[in-house]
Amino acid sequence: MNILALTTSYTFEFTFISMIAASFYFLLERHKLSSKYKSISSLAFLTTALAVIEYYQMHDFFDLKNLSSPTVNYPTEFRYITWLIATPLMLYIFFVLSGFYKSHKKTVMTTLSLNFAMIVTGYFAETTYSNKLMSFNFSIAMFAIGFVCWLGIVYIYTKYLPEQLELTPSKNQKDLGKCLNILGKLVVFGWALYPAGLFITFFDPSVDTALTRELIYNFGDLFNKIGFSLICFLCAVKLTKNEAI
Amino acid sequence: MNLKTYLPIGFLALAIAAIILPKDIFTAVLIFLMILSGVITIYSNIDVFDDDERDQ
Repeated sequence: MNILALTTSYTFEFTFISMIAASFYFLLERHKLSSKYKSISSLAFLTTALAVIEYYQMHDFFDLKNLSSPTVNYPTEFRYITWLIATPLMLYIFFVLSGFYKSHKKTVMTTLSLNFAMIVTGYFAETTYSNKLMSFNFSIAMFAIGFVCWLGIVYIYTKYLPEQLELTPSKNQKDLGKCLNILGKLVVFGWALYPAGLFITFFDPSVDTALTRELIYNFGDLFNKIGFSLICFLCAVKLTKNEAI
Repeated sequence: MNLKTYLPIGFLALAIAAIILPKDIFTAVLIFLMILSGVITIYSNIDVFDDDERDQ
């Protein structure tokens, strides 16, 4: 039995169940938020619940028969569809939490556009390379564009937004700063898994490497989606408490 | 700079190492450590919004 295939299959199940649990948590704990911050619960729920639906669709790909066969089918399209829907929601949560969605509309549009470009070019890079649809240079160029877009999001979350937060003093400033600091780390280190995983498979297309990458992606999804939503949700709980003071 | 600062870096570095290096029992150790650093990163950050003094 291929132990790597078995582990990848089980970690998929683990992430799937964790996403369901997180979705329930965000719904059941909704009462802790004031009406101003209820939308944070909705966005956090949508992030994980939509991932649950896509993970359900990916179930067949993580069947042991498929993962153990020499010609493994990877759920590339499903992963990218999930990211296309979930990542804008994740990024938008902080803008709602901080109220920047009203005052920094251009930043919101820039962030979401960069995110869209990052995922679309990432998909073209991966699918053209793995299906040999275009030249290797085309795949690398697509990857480079996606990578630059990701760097743009990193800049917004680690440099631009903290600066803007300092310029808008409020009683929530300290908590929003803490929240943004953690989100920045997730965007830098958590999201870096995906370009790294894709880049490595350009130079090592073996099945074992691809299976390990899928396994790492399962945990990447787990920490990034649940972590991102959970931190924003807990910050919203704290901001709700601040309202009462 | 404390251990908490290095955990996210460790998470990424271990994940990349697990994908790149030859797949053997050492890969399992790397993945285990990666998961551990991820869990500790999230767990050690969820209490940053606690304000025990005020709650009391």
